[in-house]
Amino acid sequence: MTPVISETGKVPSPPTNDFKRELLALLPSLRAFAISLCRNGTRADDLVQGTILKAWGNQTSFQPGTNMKAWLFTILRNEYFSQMRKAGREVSDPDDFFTNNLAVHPAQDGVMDLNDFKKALDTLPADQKEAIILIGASGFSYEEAAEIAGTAVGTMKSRVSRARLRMQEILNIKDVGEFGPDAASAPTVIRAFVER
Amino acid sequence: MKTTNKDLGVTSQIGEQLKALYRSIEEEPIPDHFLDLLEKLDEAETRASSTMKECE
Repeated sequence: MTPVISETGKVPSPPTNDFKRELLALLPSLRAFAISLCRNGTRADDLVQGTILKAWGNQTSFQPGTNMKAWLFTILRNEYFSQMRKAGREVSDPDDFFTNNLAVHPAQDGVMDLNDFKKALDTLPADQKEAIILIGASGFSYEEAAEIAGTAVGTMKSRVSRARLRMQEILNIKDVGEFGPDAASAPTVIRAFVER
Repeated sequence: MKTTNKDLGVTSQIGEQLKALYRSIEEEPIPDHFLDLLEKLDEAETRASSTMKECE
């Protein structure tokens, strides 16, 4: 396609409708990310709205053909974490592993209740929650998730592993053979503790 | 090499629950105010660009 250039030689901004269409198509996913991240409908709505406004205002800085989903998620999570920091909230918990926050008493029959699951998710430090959502639900690769969160791939992996371990512990999933760290992630987890 | 998210475990209950939770939100209809907001932004931009053309 030949690029359209205006009479004055200026390159016009990318077609608004394409941008809008793509943004619209990504809204359900963006909203699911916001709600799973902050568990507060009103706040999640504000985050999504802020992201739409910011994305719209910066659409010339978006490179068509690149991953718009990752771009939008980055805008949203940056806003979320900046609000957390401004409010003086901890976004990470360096001593998390043995800080049991066992407010959840899951069913004994092995069936996990959705509310228990949500509560368990809420006990995670924000950076670990973000990691497990991006990797486990939003469908990003570790590389993409690391870029979104502005961190290293190894850090992303260890956050996911620690989040998973903590969730297993809270939800009382004891079967390490089936659900425990696999051979690939265990060294990452161990390294994460040794490095501290 | 591209790593995959396999080791979150397709068999893991946690992975499954998380996906189910996420999917259930994704499947909810988009609240009207987001659509209204996008309409307004689009209109404002169209108006602004037509005003610019008139000035040229």
